Amino acid sequence: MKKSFIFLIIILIAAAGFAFAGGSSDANAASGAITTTDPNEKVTLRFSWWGSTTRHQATLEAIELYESRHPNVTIEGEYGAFDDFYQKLLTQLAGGTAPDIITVDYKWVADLMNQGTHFINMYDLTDYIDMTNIDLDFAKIYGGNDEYLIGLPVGVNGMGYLYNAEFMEKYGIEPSDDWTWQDVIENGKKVNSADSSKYLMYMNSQHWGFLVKTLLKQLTGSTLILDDYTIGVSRDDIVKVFSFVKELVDTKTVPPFNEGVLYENVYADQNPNWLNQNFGIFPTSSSLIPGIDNASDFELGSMRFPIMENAVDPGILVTPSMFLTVYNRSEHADVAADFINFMLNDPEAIAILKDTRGIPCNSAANQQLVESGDIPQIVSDMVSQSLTAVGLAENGPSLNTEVVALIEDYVHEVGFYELTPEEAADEFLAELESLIETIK
Amino acid sequence: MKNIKNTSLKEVENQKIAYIYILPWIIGFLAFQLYPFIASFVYSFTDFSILKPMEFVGLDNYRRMFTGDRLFWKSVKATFLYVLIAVPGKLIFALIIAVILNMKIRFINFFRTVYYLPSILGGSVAISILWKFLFAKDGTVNAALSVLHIPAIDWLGSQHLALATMGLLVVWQFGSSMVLFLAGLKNIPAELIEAARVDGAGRLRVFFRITLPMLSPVIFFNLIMQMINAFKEFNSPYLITQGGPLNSTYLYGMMLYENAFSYLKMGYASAQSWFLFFIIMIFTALAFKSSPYWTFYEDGGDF
Repeated sequence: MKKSFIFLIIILIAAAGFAFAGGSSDANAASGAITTTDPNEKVTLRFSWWGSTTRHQATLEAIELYESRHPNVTIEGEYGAFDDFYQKLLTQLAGGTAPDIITVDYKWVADLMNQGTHFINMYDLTDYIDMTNIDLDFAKIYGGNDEYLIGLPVGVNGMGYLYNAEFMEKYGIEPSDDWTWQDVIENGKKVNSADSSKYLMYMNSQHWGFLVKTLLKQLTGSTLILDDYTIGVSRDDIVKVFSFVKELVDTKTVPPFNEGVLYENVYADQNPNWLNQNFGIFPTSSSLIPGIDNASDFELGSMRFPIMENAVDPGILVTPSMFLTVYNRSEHADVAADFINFMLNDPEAIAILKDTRGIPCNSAANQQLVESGDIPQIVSDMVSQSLTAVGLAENGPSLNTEVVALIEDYVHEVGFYELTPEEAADEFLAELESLIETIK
Repeated sequence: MKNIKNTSLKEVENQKIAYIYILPWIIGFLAFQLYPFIASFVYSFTDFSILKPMEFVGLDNYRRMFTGDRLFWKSVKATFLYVLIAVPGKLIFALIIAVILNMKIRFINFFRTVYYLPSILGGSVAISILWKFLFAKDGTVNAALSVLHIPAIDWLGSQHLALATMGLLVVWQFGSSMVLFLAGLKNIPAELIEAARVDGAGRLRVFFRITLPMLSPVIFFNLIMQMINAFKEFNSPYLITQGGPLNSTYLYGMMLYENAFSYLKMGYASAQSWFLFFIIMIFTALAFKSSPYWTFYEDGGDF
């Protein structure tokens, strides 16, 4: 009797489990029909973003300004560091408790769009947001397609080499905007032979991933994985790229992998070796420069990312720094959209937010900040250098988190001398093929 | 006859009250333990990804886990190695400190508090960062070693050493086991030890022949608890090494987390967590089966 009762409970709970799983799919289908909010109604919106203290302060100030203009609206900020922001967002989306206005990184867009429609299509919000000064073609590359746009890009991010000017001068290295990979190696040897405790360059784990994908584009003009989930490059190409990784380590252009491992998941501003001037170059995207500049007490400069001789594609990554999106369960999507409009287009808001989210995508805002001198020279340098050689855009499959982790793992196998470039390429391709089966 | 019926009625009444008293716990158990437990079992046969509607994939997750995942067995191996380093290390260390702190000296309570501190702080982010700085190639530990003319050791950068270094952090958080040992030591009747001393046993002999056997139930309890915790370890690899170098510290908990929350493979992660549950159950069962051979209960050990 008792046993069957317990059994019954278990069955009931299991049934509830199915019901729950089915229920969440219904919720996805509920499309956000945008209703107009009464201007006297008290509205509370939640807005989530990540970033550094400067960004938090500027954003909170902008929110205050918006609230003073719209006394019926209260906007609650949910902000913190980038680490785990995505994990938190996913759990919120799963539970149906995500904020009204959500900041989304371009790297997540493809994965999120694969998971159903959780964000209001930006093309449906043209009545609320002035998009005339925003380059929607650029937004579309990383934010959706002709029918659906997940959000509006706030800033432009370009990849480049950030260098320590004092270090470069000391070792007689001439920064220039037309380095090839050969120049990287030559200068790497030069630095380390002058002082064996110094290295020309250091890369964190994330950047090793970028390096491999960029080299492949320069070599073949193709992304690692094509849109139809087939591999876009040959074994030979991968061997060449892994051999170059090995050459960087062999020539001591980069420090040995076992020394770098502790700082693989942070940027230069948290790496004591960068701060103590043991490294000359940190490859980075432009939006990270203000934080690094703040921490480094030496002069910094920016130069264009290297391109190989006879490159098929320049390969340099130019992406939106982040998207502002509206959650499709938001009860006041019109107000949320109006707030996004305020952040992107209002001159006063732009003056407060400055370049805290990268150089604005909005051309009018960009113009305004250039005139007021609010964009640091070095940041605008890196973006304009990258714009001279924009590479093939990344696609969804190549941005998949697990694919990136796989690339990084095999770079480490080569860098730690566990595998030769040939062995690594074979294993990598086999693993990649079986991985693709699970992410289609 | 009438009398008996009355008592049983009263008993039923009492039972009802008892159930009402424990109702909050039962509800909590059903909602937060049994339900997720069963749900994860169901998910383990699906491709559940948190946001998408799920589909049943049969045993695919289990098949992929055992045959198609390049990191799975590596992670299992690292986890076993970690348990093998961390659990005995921690128990031995906690026992030694407990024996020392059991002495009657001045300020003993102060020392007990101080030695307990690492267990409170150990899991925190700040300590993990401190650990990073201590064991970096140019960190404090190597600086101290260089005074003794020992060459710098790559504590966290070498794939052969990183796991052991991380084990040290856990050994250092010996406080909770130590408190239990201390309580166990206090419970050993002084007459036993005195009698042995009078009979001419040395300190070591007393320790191995009296203290250890008397303490064996506490050792057993600590062993089980620490083993389960070590199998589930997540904080230290996540905060210190992120699983590196070369995935040598990619412990099971970390693999679960990445599959579930970074790669959106919740169904697959559920399957993995059931395998972990299975491993823990086997080892706990083994420990229980072996306990009659080495634990000693004054009351005969009848539960």
